[in-house]
Amino acid sequence: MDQKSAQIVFVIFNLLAIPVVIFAFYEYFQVNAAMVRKDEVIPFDTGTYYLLLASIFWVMWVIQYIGKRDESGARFVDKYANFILIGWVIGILVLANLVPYYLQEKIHKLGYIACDDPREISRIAKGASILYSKAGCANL
Amino acid sequence: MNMEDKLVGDLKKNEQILQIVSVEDIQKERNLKSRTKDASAWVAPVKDSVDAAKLIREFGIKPKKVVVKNYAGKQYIIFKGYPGARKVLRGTRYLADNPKVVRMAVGPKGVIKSVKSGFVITVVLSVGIEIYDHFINDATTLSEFLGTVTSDLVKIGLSSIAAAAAGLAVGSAAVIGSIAAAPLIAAIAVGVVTGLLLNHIDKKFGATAALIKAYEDLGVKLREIKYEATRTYNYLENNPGALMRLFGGPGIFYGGY
Repeated sequence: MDQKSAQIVFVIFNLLAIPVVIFAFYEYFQVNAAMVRKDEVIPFDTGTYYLLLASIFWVMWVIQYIGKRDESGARFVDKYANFILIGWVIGILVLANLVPYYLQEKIHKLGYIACDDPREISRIAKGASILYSKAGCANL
Repeated sequence: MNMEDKLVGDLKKNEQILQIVSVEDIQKERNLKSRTKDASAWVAPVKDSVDAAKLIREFGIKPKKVVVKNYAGKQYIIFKGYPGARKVLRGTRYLADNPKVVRMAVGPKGVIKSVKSGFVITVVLSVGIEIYDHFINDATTLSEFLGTVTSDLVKIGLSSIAAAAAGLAVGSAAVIGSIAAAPLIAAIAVGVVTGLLLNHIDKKFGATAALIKAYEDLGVKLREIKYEATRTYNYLENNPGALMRLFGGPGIFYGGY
């Protein structure tokens, strides 16, 4: 791929990452709001927070900007870019596992029961789709 | 054959074996299927992460430059930095399709090869689990199996294409393209994110359910076609003159005109 096309595709991925990351935050607030309202059924997807991995493109964008700026920027990128990229990915993976665990503990404490989501027939992605119900799984 | 033997024969012909399974065993089997499918979704990213770790081990945590250049119609991968410190890629310049370079998932061909092998592994595992579930679970129809497998294949295919596009773009971009592990990290991230998004879309719009319904309708149509074909064949077999009459010939067997 030539550099110009690669840069266009890179920018597109950066822009697409915005709604994807916003969606992950939106899901978090939706679940919390459902707990506060004490809804009968709370839909919950344990894999949603892996969507935060899309933010790696923003980190790459910043690294590219710093590296192009001047000599000292290029030296900074040479020294620290790998650390930053790998550290960011590890941090996101830890968050993606801790956040659902934390939310599920809160939901369980409110007395909800975990049920399989009947809308989910085929899944290739990480995690599972769960419906938390106060009244049990029979009526779902 | 006396009546007793006939009775035994009839009973054997109509024999049904019932296995009473406890709810806990059914739940265990369903949990095993969902845990195995969840684990199979990790195989490709873990494999790519291992490749990325090999690259970091080869090039060090402080990256030396990796540059992709085209000379005389061929694509070369140029490694800057001290070649003596590297164990596998000890040269400074390799063709992009050099087996060592491709195996280390460096450069565009390396990234595509890595994505392709991840696709194959995920397809084999995912389809294998569905086949196992179809055989074990009496309640699963052929339409459900075909619909689920079709949906899985489409999702895995689209995730792989998106991952390959991301890996190629990052590998060819300025500055970040020189970080050896960056294309693989981008491919892993995009593959995972695309799979999750396709799942959400499937749940919201019921794509897999629609596919299963389509296969069911196809099955009904095929049964109708088979029924009509069998009926027509039986009629022609019992009425050999009918074909002749159909094409206006004399009715030889039934008096004709």
